[in-house]
Amino acid sequence: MNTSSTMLIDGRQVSFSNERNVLEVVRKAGIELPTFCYHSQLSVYGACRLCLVDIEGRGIVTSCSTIPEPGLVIRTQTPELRSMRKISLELLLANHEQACPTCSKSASCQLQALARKLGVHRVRFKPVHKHRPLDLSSPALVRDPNKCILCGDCVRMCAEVQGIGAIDFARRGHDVFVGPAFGKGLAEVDCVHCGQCAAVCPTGAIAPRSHIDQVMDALDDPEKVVVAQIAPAVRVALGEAFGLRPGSSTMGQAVAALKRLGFDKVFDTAFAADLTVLEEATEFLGRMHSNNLGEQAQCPMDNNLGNQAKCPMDQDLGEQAKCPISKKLGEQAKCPISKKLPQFTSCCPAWVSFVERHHPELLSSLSSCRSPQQMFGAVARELLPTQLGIERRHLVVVSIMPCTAKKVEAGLQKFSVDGRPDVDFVLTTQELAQLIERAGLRFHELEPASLDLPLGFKTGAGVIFGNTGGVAEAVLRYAGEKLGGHRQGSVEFHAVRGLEGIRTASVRFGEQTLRLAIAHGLANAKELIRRLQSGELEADLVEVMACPGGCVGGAGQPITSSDEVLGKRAQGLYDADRTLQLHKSQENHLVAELYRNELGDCGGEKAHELLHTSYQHRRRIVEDSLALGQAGANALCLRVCVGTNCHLKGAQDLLHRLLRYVHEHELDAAVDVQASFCFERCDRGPTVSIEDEVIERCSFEQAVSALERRLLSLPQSALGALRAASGEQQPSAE
Amino acid sequence: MDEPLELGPVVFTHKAQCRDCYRCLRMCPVKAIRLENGQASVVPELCIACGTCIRECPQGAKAFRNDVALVRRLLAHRPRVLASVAPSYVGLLHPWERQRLPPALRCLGFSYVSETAVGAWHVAQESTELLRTASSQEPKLCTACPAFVRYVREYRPALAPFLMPLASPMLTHARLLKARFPDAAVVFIGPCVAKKDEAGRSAGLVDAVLTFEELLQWLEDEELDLSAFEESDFDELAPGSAGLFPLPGGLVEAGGMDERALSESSIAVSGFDELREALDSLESCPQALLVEALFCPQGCINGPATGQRQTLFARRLAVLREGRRPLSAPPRPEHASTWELPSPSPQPLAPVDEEELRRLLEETGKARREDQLDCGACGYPSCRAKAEAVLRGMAEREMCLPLMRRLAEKRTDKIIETSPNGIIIVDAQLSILHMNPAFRHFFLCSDAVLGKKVSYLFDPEPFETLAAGSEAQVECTQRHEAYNLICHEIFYALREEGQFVGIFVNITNSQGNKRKLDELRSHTVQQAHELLQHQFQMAQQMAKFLGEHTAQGEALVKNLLALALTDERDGG
Repeated sequence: MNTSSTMLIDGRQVSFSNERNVLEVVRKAGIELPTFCYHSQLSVYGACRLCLVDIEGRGIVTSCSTIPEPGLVIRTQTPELRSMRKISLELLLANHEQACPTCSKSASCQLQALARKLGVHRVRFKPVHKHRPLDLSSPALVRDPNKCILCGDCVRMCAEVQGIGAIDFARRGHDVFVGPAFGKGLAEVDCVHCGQCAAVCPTGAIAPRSHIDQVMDALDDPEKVVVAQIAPAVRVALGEAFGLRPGSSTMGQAVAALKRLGFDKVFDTAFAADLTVLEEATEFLGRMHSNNLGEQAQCPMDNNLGNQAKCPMDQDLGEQAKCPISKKLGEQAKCPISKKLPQFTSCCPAWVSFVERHHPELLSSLSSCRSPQQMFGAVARELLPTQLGIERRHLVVVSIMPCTAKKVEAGLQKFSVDGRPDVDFVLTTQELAQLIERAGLRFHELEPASLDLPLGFKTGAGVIFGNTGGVAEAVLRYAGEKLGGHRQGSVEFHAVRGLEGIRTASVRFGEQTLRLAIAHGLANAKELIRRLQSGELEADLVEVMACPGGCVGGAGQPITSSDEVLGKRAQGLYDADRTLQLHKSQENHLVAELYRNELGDCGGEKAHELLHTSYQHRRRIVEDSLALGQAGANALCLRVCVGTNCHLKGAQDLLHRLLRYVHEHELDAAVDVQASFCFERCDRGPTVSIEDEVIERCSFEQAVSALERRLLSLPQSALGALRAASGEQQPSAE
Repeated sequence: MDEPLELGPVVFTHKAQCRDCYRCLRMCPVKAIRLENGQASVVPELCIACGTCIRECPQGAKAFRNDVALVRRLLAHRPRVLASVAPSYVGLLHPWERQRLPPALRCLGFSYVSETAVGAWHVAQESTELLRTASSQEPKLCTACPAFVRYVREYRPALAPFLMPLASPMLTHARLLKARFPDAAVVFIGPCVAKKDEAGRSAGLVDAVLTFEELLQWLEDEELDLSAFEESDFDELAPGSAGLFPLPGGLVEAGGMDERALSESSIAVSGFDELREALDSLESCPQALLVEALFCPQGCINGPATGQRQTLFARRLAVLREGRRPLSAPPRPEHASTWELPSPSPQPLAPVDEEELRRLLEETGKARREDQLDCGACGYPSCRAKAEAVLRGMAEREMCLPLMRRLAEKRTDKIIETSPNGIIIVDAQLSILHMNPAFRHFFLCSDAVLGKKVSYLFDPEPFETLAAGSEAQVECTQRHEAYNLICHEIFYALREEGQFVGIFVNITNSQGNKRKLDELRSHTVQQAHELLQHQFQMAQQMAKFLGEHTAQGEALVKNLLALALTDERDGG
């Protein structure tokens, strides 16, 4: 290291090399400067003013936004700095709703911790903010603006790491607040409920929504039989809530705790993950096959193809096999697996939600497999009532998940049967820890207990689902074998592991080469999609997990922002995989038994009913249109989408010309021109609607002729009335 | 692998901890322990590695070879290493620990974890088949226990032909595993020390043997806590009742030989005493009988390296409960345990020269048959066997309790017998128990007074003081006029024995001398007085004549008197 790369911090020489800012150098020197708004993975914001330092010759600056330079003389602790930090904190506290004992973030709140560390015992300033209503629209997250200290961590997390920007600062100066667009609730905007905002929020301003009470009620109900599924990533993080090392597996203790809490059966979501691998890999192989057959290819299982057809699933289905799906869907149906590559994974509900809102063009590329949580729910509803000898309605399925988005997923209409959701409640890892504390169980002293069978049996492939790269690796272990590439020795594919945001790997099986692309963090996913769509990158299978690190970094886990902790959790899962008996989902004999006894064929009719789903293009904003004219009550409704996509394709111009046209033709009262938000046909914009008729790729001429057609079709009397109305209005307008 | 590790003997002694108690030798069924300078060492050529001495040594001085380093080497150098875990693990571990043993082993690097009982199942099936087809009226000795097999082959060669030609479950299992994974190394993990010896003689079939103790220590050294593993099955589980193999009678049940709990066609013996008795009986009177012998009392669950985490009772119960599994699809018999047993190799015992033996017995006070107590305290069953061991260099002459006692007693006797002081021992009734020659000399008596009251000889007052219990020791100087004896005397009580001891230090001579001097002095004074009187009379008579003379004479006499008196004072 260059000797000149040193600076003097509090009288000590500190060397630095590639630290990005003075704050990192100070922390390297073992001095903990307080911060709210600084996160190494986010951009530098400089808002909280707590990381102030005194640099000789420059005065007091925020260390997070100062580039390290050799020879700087820095002081971190002066009376002036201390008093400034204290006042900053006091001011923050003045407007912070101090409901600390009842706050969900109590005890892990950074504001609380800093007030203690900096010795703020009294707040001398009066609060000036009015109470703002809580945002309870999301089943996964609760937003309490009254606890927000405007550090902007959530805003930058959502925009920079997740590439969404569902929340931002609104208004100015004194009135500034953080929230979704138009003052709407999180559920009404393009939020995917990944919860990473809550994970970085230093206070309780955004927090996961708790389902503990509902679960306790179910446990207390003597009629109910409550079963739990534990997701892979939970086992390597739960212990952190009780002071154990990150990555140390506490599955045995978690099961013991759940049993003590009154759960009748405890199962492993990794079982369903094994199921997912079989379904998803089968789907993938089908797509690959159909891709290989070329453009003309139809369903590889179509009987019409005759003997030439070679479907990788033929072996499984036997000679008589017909595509069970096309039968079910009727003649017009196309085999759902004869879709293009790459196939995108669908295990992560935040990612699925992201595709549904932002990339409708990828919907058909998304695997139709339900997530392991929902596969488990469906199978449990199918299997357990008979197995446990109970009525269907008495079964309560609780998921223990590292994730907040799973709470939303569980509540989706499509995962309900007769109004009953397959998964009743979702608890996060943190909530399980709270539940254990609430029950007064001493976690360390619990003797490990056993998972119940059959849904508690898994292979290592199911366990690594909790890591970025894990789903891809699990699918490789199956698909690779099906493609005939028998690998010698290890089943581990280290090429797909790691914490790089976007990773690619090519794995050769026999004559086939599988190209994989993996992204975690939705901003990375966005970039990966761009590369794929631009042709920069080609892939056959794309795995996306919304949270950094995959599910181990989910927002329901004990909070960490350290890659080191994520790495240890990941290692914990890989260790579990290594030490389990089986490593390939196809070797899970209890999954095989499930197919034999209940589901029929892999990818078959029953499997599709229970284990697959469909996707739909969703509106990003739940929004009424903005009326621009002065139309009467009976006016024709003409709406022009001014969403980003349509805007780029000239919607603004179109809207202006239409407004002018209506005005010039004295149709103001007869035609109600509205600027609208999204018909969700962004790829075919600009989009215009006249009443119920939607015109894609609409030109001004198309719109006018359609409008004229409409107007002409109106009865003369009605048209006259409308024109009269316009006529009456016109003078007043002039 | 670069070069094989130099493996020491399976069982050995930590010299520093061995403190000549001979317990190992007493317990060693084959007397494979050499005593040298009071320290025991195992003779590898004679040792059958049964591990009894390890279990028995109160000082923990006996140990088995630790093979963890060897296993680490296998894990580092071999493409795959398989673990074969003996069925007695269920007795060692809690249920929740059992489910986490396979993942822990995988974590250590084993790629495949299987139950040795898989091999046991095949052994049981083949044993059954063998017994069905066997027509002879000979006994059949089971070969599951390597210590037993080695014992028979080396120490009971006459019975060796009756050993069944079957490999042990460990070897059978290793054969099955190596047939499936030819490039693999097999590590057996169990409660047994003899398996280390057996593995060493298996021509590489079993690459290493770890005991449960070694495994648990290894996990601890690696800071691997069983509770931090996901439960996971063995890669291969034993079918049927093969899990009962570690118990006496397990073979009969696993082989489905007899449905009754007790059968007349087979006998299960465990522990060396039972086993030896059975073999003795069969040797003298061979009969058609299946002998299922396990060297450790109550079978493998009591193996010397089981660790002490559970009681033997609990271990037994656990194996009984867990050892039976449903036999849904019995594996195909593979004749994997058919085994050509090596021919018997009786231990060559060096012949002993009868003359030398006789001389040795004589020297150790065992010339006569009735002096040969055969007490077994030395560890050998008879004085003759021990003498033979001495001549073979295995034992030391002094390893004999009666002999050592006699020698020790002789030494004490000699001190008492040769003491210049008189020593007498009396019992609680003050009857004389023992006198030494000096005492007899002082008090002019013979052993004829033994049993008589001590008052017969002298005033028993000091003994009575002791008997009264008021004092622990009485010391005095006494004159025994009758014996012309002055003694400084010490009396003390042997409270535990209820006896009293008197020690008499003869000071008569020094007392006599003093009296003579005293007598001389008083005699001188008296004579001086007499002279004085006489001279006074003379002087009075002569005064008339010799006044001056008288004064001189008086001065002289006074001087003389003063001298005599001064002497007396100094001497007093």
